[in-house]
Amino acid sequence: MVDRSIDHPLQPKRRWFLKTALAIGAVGGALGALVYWHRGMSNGKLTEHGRDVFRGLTMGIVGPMLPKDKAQREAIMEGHLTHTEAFLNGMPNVLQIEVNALLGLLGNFPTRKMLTGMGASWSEATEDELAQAIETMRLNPLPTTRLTYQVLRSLVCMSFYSNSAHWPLTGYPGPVQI
Amino acid sequence: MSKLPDPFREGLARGWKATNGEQGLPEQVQCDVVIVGTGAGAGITAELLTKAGLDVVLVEEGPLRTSTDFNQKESEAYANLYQDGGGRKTMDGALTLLQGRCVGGTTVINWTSSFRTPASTLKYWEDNFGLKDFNEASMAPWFGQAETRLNMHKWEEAPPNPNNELLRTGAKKLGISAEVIPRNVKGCWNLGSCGMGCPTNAKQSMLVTTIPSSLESGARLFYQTRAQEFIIKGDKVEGLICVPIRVNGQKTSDKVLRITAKHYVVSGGAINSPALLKRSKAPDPHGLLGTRTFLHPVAFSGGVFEQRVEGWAGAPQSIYSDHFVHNAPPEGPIGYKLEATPMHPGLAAVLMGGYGKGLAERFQNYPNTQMMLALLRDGFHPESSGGTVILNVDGSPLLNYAMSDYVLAGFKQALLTMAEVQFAAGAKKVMPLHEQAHYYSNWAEAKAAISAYEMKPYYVGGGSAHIMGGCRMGGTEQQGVVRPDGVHWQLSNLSVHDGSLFPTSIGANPQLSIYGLTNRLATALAKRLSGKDVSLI
Repeated sequence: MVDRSIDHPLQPKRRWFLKTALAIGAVGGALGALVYWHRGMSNGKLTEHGRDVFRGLTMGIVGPMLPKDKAQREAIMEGHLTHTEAFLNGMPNVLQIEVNALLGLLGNFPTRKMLTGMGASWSEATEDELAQAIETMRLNPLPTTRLTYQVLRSLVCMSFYSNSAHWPLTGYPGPVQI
Repeated sequence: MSKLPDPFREGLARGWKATNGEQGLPEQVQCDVVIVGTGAGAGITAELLTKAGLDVVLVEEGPLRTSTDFNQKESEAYANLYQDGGGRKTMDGALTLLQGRCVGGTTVINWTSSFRTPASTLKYWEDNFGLKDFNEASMAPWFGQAETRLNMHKWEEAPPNPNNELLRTGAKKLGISAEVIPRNVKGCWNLGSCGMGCPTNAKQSMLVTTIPSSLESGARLFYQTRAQEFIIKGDKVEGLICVPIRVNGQKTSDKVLRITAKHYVVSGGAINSPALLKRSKAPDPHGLLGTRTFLHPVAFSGGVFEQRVEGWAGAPQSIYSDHFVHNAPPEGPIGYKLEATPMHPGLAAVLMGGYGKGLAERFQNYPNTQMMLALLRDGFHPESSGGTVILNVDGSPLLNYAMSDYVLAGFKQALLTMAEVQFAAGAKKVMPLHEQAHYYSNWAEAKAAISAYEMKPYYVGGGSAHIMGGCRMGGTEQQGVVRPDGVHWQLSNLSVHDGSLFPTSIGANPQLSIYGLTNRLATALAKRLSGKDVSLI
């Protein structure tokens, strides 16, 4: 039997489907383009957007352990971002691509708002806004958003606390010298 | 950096044949046997085959790092010695997988715990996978030889560190077993840095035992060299194609090395071994390849004590309790083994959980925190059938391992047990690794809270350092990827010798299970290929 929807693709139901598919494609494409435009890494380097995201996440995750002095804090943050870049470059390409995509999602306003509820950029967000954004991801009803939190928290923590320059902040005295 | 002697570098200076793929590979190599990998299964196999006078080539995708490189820094260890720079996870990101990737493989970075395969596990294999003659008595000589070769012994040269002793204290208070762990060390300095490579060469890893002996006997080593795929024709492997890579795994060029051998041994470890066979389109008529991959999923619990614990200092694992594992019937709830976890800052930050002020508070308690782990014995119950290795778009492996409700129920029970043991040991407060967790100040409070946890993905914190299965042995070709002698059911000149052979998880830290099993398989392979009788000792 002939499938009428194939014979006449523009009957109402089919048009509704096409319109919806086109709309989803357009929104998805736009978001994808934004994510690409605001990608987090390029040629092995953190982009300005990538640094912003990591700076904000790091402040939200380890901020209360950093010195109060602004200059000291800034110096630690700069060192951490350099270390994070090296940490990411130690990973295979496929993982770097995934991290890059996450940084893009969090760097660009519409997707950041969806994932974290935070409108402010990472560099302009207050301490409370950062905490709220992280909490929104951590306990989100969507598993993929909770995964985003777990992946990024793990990256920030491993990069920050495995860095021997930060041992004094943790209470770890360092290894026995041999 | 260690200033102690570095026997590996001394061997290289004496002329051991070791080639860094990143600096260029030859186009062709011929040998009697090529072994993919340099970890537990590869090392034992290489030593036995070279003892039999066979010409052996070892192919390792990770870098060569030796004791003088091991500076006890997590940052360098993860980047250089671990799969994916320490970033390997299950496909859904729910479990972090710690697996070695360097010359010596996971034996370089494991925590030295050395247990024979439990009799109950061997019995399960015999009953369910047709592995006759794999029982406690028949395997004992193979384990015994490996124990002697690698100096595995009940480690009583020094008292357990507080991180381990508190496990024993709590267990004793509750009337459950707690024993001393056998370790593969010789003259251990008790530094606590096993997970970052032993800087004193006390750990009897493959890096300081079987790989050096093989190189001394003329074996050739290619490192930073990835085994890309086998060339297969009919029931035979005709060659192995390898590519040169950087430390982070990226290819350095399109040039390839083709290795031709009489026999091929796959010892890349679980996940990587089935992935190599999948990339090679190895015959898999029963759809078994990559399936039944197990993890011993691990739950964690932090207990804060009045006294300092300093979980970073001293042998990482020296006390265990099997009370909840081998007495558990396979058809019942999942069993779990209790041990302690070393607490260096990077790993501690991950295992303590939290962010912001919460994380800062946990770090204030860090020197006084005892971290306990429960490794769950997966693979013995119909609702614990493990994960499946599949290939990513670039050919790299992915492990699809979804935690079933059965396994998650085991996590909850393990969190309850650990909290009870920690309070029994005198903990002032306890916090399990779970997103709904807080510090609890007594057992009753902890019990009520943990019982109410939602056990859903990304709420439950966990990881694994024991990846097993995926190329399992089976008594028939319907039951296994390889035969009970380790030879592939459909490829007559290819064997698998590593932890991917296991049809279930082990129920104990698996290194000695790999040594013992591959000792048996490689001794027979050496005899078959050379006609000679060889032995590890």
